[in-house]
Amino acid sequence: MRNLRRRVQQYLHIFQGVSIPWVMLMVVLLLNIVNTYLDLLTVTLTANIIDGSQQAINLQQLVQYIVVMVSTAAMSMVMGYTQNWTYEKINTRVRVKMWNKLMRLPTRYYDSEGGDELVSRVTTDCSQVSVYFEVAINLVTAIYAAVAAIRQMLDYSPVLTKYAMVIIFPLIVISGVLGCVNRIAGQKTQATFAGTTGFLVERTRNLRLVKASRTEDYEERRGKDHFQKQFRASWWAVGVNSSSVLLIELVNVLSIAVTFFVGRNLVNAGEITVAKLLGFYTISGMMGVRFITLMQSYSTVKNANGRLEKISEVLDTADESRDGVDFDVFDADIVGKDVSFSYDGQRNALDHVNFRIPKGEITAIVGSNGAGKSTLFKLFERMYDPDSGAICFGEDDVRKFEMDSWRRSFAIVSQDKPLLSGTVRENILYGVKRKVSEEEFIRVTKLANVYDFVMATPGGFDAPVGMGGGNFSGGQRQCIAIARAMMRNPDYLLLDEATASLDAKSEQLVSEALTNLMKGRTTIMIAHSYPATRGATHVIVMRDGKVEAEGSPEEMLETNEYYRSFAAKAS
Amino acid sequence: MKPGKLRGNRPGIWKGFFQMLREIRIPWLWIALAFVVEMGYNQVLLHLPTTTAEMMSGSLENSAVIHAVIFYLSYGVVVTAEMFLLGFVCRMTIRNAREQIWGKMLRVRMDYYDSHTPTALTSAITNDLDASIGTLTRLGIIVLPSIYYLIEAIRTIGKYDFLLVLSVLIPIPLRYLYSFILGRLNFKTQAAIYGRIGTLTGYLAERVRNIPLIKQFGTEKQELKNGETASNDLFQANMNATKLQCGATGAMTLINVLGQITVILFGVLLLRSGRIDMTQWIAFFLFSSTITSRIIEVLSYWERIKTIQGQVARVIEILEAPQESTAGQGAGAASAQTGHAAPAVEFNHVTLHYGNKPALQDVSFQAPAGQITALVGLTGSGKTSSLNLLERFYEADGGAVTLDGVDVRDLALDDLRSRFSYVQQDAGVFSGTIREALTYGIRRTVSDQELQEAAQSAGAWAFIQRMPKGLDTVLSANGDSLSGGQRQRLVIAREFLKNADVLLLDEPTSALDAQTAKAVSETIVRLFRGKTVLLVTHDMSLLPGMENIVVLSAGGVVGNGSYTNLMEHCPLFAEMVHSQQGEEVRNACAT
Repeated sequence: MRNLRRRVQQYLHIFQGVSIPWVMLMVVLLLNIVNTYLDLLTVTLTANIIDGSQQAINLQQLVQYIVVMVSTAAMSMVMGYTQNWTYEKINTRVRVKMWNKLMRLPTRYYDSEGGDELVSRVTTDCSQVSVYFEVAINLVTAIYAAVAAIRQMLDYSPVLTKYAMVIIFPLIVISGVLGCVNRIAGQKTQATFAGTTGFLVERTRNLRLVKASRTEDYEERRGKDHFQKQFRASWWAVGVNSSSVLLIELVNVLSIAVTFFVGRNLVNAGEITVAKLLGFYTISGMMGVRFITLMQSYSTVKNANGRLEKISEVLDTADESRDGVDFDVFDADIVGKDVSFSYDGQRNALDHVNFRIPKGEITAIVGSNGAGKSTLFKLFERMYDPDSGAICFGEDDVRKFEMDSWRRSFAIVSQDKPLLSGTVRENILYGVKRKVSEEEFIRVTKLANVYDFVMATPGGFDAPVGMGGGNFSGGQRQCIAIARAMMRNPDYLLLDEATASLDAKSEQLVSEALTNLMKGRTTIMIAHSYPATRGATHVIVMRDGKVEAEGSPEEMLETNEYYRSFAAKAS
Repeated sequence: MKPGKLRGNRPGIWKGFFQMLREIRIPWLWIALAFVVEMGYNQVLLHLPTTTAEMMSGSLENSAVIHAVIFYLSYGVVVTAEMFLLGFVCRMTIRNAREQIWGKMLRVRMDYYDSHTPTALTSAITNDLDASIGTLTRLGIIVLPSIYYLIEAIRTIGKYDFLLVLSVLIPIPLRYLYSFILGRLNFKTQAAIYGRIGTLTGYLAERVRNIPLIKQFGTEKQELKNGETASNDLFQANMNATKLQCGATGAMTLINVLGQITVILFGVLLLRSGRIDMTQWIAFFLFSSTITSRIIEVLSYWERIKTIQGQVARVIEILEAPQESTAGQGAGAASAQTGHAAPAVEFNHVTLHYGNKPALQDVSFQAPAGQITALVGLTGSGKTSSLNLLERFYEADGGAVTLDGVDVRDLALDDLRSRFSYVQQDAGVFSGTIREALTYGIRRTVSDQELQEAAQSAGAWAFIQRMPKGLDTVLSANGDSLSGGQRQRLVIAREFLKNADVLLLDEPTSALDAQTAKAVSETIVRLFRGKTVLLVTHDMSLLPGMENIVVLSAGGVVGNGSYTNLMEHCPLFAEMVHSQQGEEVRNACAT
């Protein structure tokens, strides 16, 4: 019961602030009811036409029949369209709400959820939210259908109706069970399919490893196991499908038995015409099928519940705080005061760290993998807030400043150089709100070493970069990212191994562009090799989440052993 | 995958189809059984209208009703059996086909993989097979019984009256026209709509993945608007699909109604004129709907085969893809001649093309036994291609690659590859336990003691021990739960356990930071002392002091010798060393 209440609350929460097209929903319901009405009407008309007791063909009846049939066809078209319009509208509105929320979530949220997961939250999951409205409308329609059908049946014959009711109740139970089994079958099929796909993708992506390890036979066997599992799981689906058919047929047999055994006497007694008996038989069959499909919608709701839960989980997460005073850069150092931070609440990624980033200088942060260098960058950008301690600008805690104005003062150039699909120009001007003159644009792109290679590309600056920038090489992508950073004209520049994993030629191109970018900005760099730190006037050495030493490069060379060995390895 | 188009023409499909039948293990016995049941089902189905009609026309004697009930019961059983068996057999065939194709895929030559994405290949096994083999099996079982049913049904109503047959056949051209037009329309519009839906989903996906970037640039408002536009476009695209679908259903229903009216008109007129009796009229009425839908179904089989053509083509393409040749001399052939374990490697005027693109041109160099040889050069200069030739992932178009003087093409593939340890740029580890990752490809049983020693020497033991279940900790797909350095160490431990004679290193440290990279390279040098090592690298700082360095440029050797020698005589080499050092100088001047 409490579970149910939680569900309802979740449910209400998702649609909070989403305008539901109630009028259209009503229209959809109405159309459904009219459609059901027409269905029942058709039954009577058909029975009348087939009925042998009316030898004389009735023209009026035939016209009536044609009209009803044609309007049923037209109705089903209108209904299908209206229904889909309404449900898709709801989905779209929830999707926009979700999207809105995703923009405001704190960064921590994105760590715990994989990228693909979040994508499917917006795309697939949101296309399921209207299921509840759908099922509700179906339910109301089904109740109407039941009432109307029973009235019709009572009209035909009260005695027969009583017998028919006896059949319908066990039917409801059985179809409920089938609905459950259907759900299990669906899950099994899904799980084995995902397992097989995962296995295959991993192997095909890395076939060289398989070949080099000479494990073709082994992988073939493992593939066979996966296929066999999939085959086994499909038995369930096949079983459920065929038992549904069996069930429907059984209902049919029962209907026939009851209708005609009992009905025969009624016809003989003259209480009912054969036409009505036929009509009764058809309606009772229709009812049965309707119940079975309604029960199957149970599994739809069950599936949707899982997705809905995930959506409401996202919506329940608190927003990133965005208040504060405008950040207007004056000359002050960034100072870390006893900063601790942990991603998972267990291991400290930063452990009581103190440091100083002098304004207008170049600071190099060195240390081995996992020392906390990148984490520090994320705190500078306020992607996270420290768990304890504070990062201060001069004397002020940075949390005091309004988020947008703070982040606007930073630009990061990192190893993974993300570009968004669109043209080169769009990428370079990404996030720039002022008007940029063509001269400025060309000047910047030349400084970033972008101009030449882009002009050599067909389409020039209007050439698409492709998904993830795939149309350009790593070095070229990095130069575009540098031009993008230049356009923002930030006060602070964060370099996170910006020239790593490039070959010598591209590295040269990128370093030149970087040098231009660094002019006149406070630069903080994560350096992967000693040569990269040579321009630095300030060095921070990190180890295991702590700042081990801090000072000028000369001091560090003298006093810090790690830095000495770091320097020694380069020569 | 483009090749689907290549085979889009009609004659190809049948040839390919029979080819597929030859290649795939078909469960003929089961199919025969399903066929028999299918025939039985259709036979029973033929009696359905007559039995129902008898009942409906008012013959309500006890025996008639009992007969009907028994008939319906058996009908239910047959229908269920038919559905179950059909589903079962189709899936069994699909499973067999999957096994077959997977086996082929594992042994296909590497160059085939270059032109195909992993997802496309995977979906060839998962989705394409469901559609192609599944549909073909189903059709193979049901086509003949369906036709049998049609002939018998038409004969039955023809016995009632010839005109009735006519009334059933009249709406057929209309129906066929409908499915023809819809097929045309559907294909174009549907493709356009789904393309659109795909793009929009892709757009949303890209933004979601790059949310940190959006935050950095403070473009939330702009992206919000973009996202809203994308969602609305998606809505529009979906509605267009709906329109098409509704139009199609509507038209179909109208045609059905038309057909039914024709049937009723004919029937009632004949009934009134006394040419048929009541039972026949009802039986005909019931027959009419099944007959028309059956005819359409049979006609649609051809269309269905056409729609799965693309998938069939892809499956056949994999079946026909060139396989690696595995034959050749035994393992000992090469070393038996020279006597030492670590063989010398020699490239002798080697040429290699990827398609039309030359990758190596007249490349010759030697890697002495038991020593390190470095291959350097810019991206695309042919370094990795050289390693590929050694492993025989590709075969040279000209010249020869030899191991102790024996051409690698003359060695049995399995034996050849057993002589190499290969550490790739992006170290591959499969999901599974750490133990499985460490012993991957090792055919002898490895004791825990030995595992621990190997892991220790590769510097992997410390983090393995810290894992919740040690060696039995389960790694996620592609080993993503490990850091790059950890993954690389696992791979080194694995290759160490493999204990092969030649070590191929393809930028083994490029994914690592300087400290870790240094440690890893030191480990490699220490562990594989005495083996023949070929090292591909971008990191020029590893090279000073080395005796054997091969400089490649645009697929050709431009320098070969010791570090000092090359610094003097190979301008490209000197430039590469300098430009990497140059970065430091420029950075120093940055302020």
